[in-house]
Amino acid sequence: MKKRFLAIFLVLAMVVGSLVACGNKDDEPADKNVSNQDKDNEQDDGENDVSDVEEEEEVPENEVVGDADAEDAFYVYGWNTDVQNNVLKYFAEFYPEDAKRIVFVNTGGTDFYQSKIDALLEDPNNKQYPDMFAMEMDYIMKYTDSDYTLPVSECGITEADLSEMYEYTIQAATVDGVLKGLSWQACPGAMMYRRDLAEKYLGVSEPEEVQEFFKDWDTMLETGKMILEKSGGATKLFSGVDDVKRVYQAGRTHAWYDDNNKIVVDDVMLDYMDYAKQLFDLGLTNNTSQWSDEWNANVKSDNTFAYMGCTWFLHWTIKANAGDAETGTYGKWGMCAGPQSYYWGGTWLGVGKDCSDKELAGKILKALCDKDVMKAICKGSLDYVNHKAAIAELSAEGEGAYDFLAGQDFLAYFSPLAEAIELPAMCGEDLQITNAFDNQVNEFVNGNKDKDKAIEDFKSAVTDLYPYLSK
Amino acid sequence: MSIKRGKRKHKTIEYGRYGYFFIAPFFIVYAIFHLWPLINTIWMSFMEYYAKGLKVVGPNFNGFKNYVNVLFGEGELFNTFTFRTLGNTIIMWVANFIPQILLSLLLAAWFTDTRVKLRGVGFFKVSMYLPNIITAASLAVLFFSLFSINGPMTQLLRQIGLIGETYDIMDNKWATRLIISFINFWMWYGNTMIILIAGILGINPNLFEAARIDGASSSQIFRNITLPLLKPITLFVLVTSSIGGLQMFDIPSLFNVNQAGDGLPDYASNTITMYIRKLTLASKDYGRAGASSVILFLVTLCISLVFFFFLSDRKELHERVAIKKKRGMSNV
Repeated sequence: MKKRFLAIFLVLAMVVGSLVACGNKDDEPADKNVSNQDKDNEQDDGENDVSDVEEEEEVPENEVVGDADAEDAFYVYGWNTDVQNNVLKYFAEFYPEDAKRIVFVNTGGTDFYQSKIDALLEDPNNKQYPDMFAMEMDYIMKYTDSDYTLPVSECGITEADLSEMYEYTIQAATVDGVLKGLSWQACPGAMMYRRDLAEKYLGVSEPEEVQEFFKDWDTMLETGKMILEKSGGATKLFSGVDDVKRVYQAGRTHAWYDDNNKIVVDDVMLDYMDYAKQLFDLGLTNNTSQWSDEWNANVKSDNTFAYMGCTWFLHWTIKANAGDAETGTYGKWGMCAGPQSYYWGGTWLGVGKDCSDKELAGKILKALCDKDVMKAICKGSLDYVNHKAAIAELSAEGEGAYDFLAGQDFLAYFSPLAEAIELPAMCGEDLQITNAFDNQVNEFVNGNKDKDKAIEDFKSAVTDLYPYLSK
Repeated sequence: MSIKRGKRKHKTIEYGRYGYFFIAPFFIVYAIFHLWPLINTIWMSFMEYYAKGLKVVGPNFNGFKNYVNVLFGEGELFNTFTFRTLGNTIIMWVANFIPQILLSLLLAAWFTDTRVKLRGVGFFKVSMYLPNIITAASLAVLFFSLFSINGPMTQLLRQIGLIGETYDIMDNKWATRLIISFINFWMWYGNTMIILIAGILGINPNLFEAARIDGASSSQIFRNITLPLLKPITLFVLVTSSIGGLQMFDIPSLFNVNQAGDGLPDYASNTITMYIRKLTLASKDYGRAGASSVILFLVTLCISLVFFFFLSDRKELHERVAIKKKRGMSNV
């Protein structure tokens, strides 16, 4: 008998052991990895990750900040630390008592963000239910155009609260007249260029004068040729042809498909293909692709004259890659409007349908409409905040003068650009479809395919990916 | 007597039962994590089951529609993403496997040759196995930075004059595929070599000795003794490698991909497992992902069966068939 018990015990131990091992591998949203505060290492920018990755791409672990075990925990989800560092941190300064209840979950990268929160949104009884979650421009429609998000009016946000917000940020989160999310940032785009190179090749360096050389697409192409010629081929206009993509994309009048679920390639996207081809054929770029290591490295190099970027791009891409004033390009940058006004990206906060505390959700949303909170956010994080009066006051106080841009006032510069933004057409599948489009543009630009074939192949790829779309 | 015997028999059965307890964990885990997902995949392959945004459609039974879609797509047989990505996978596997087995065979023959008596065999074995220890992800990223547009290998090739000043290797379909094949080849030839060495060492040394006394040359010994007797091991290597190769995922999915995980350029390095994963991520189209998985399963099965047919010991097979036939006859 003893032996039998021993055997059964051993078997159970083995089964339980193997099951537990499997359970850990699964990405449970419940992972409360509070001790792992080393956030920067967890950001998914490729190289840092490699040491942790075992066999293949792993689903990154969630990072949780706050007291997750508390009865009245209020869960906020994001795919990086932006919401934590740019909003919740300042919310805590103004409302320390409420902030104690907030549990921020960083899912570690955009790749798995949607699949992680989608599962949770369908499960209102889960303790980790996203009371509030971040939504990115590229897929905000997926959530606002569903029943999973709550109209902000139900959290006590009124028309008056929204008066100082930029119109396009409200439009972007509105579906059928119902506003379902608020953003703390506005993301007008501009062109960031190297002052020293402009002085050398164009003879001017101040934004107003440089803007003349980039006032429209054709002039920009001519200027690109001139820079290439004068520098003897050493300095190219852009790092890659896809640098101009976001500018064109923001001008779309059709989303990727129409009401009949038929794929439509907007004329501006066709224009973009032609322009990219011209840039490539004339050798005006370094042929990098956006976000690649080379593309990042070119910020420091004299081989690239300008980048097309927006508010967050200025701080977290250009400045982050520029290095210091001695060896890098810090302080050598300027900003002008470029050939066309546009916007790029932005993060909205939405409230889950079964939010546990609408009052607190309302309070956080209200903070996004509060001038003082917004001023604090802007001062602290340099984010261009979504509050016209706050921007005007900060600019008047001289907060916008930015030594990275050799003293140029970025707040004052972005301000009219933000007012001018018109929301382009978009759809919930933008992220994947745009990537499929990029693949084909690349083939077309390299001369492997003609335009019609590229568009045809793009449509095939999209219909294959989304069964409800047709050519 | 009979009672005693009965008791004894009973006791042995009692002990034998523990054996089942000990193998039970495997079957339980297998049923939960392998068998059930397998059945579920086949079940889903007959369903219309996808999500439009957050609205889930299905699962509704739709017969063989997913299979028709996967096989024909827009009308032409096999001109679908499933088969194109399957083609990519097979190309990359073949390009890695043929040089791999040849080199491994050669090295294994050298290292086991009693006449050559290489020194430092242990060192070579270890150092050739080493690439397999590095994680595939690191290798993929390493090779990507070597061959990317400003990478050292690209610059070297530019200086030699093999490629143009602005040429980007990563825009070339065949270069991308070949580099992925090379990484796989480099990672796995040490492993294959060790298996083959084990196989050769398992051959009766008397045979080699006898052949040598009879005056056979090294190449004759290799062709007429080593190779035929190595067949079962070669079969094992081929089958395991083809199963692993058709499921190739880690290296291509980290090598030359865009943000959405497509194998660039123009899906040339997209393997079928990457494609299946993409289907379940983009529109959560589990129906078609299931159908593609079943196709992958069938193709793997066919390839393995072909190997078995060509490489298994025919003589033994014939004998077995003959014995079976005889038995059948006697039964009749």
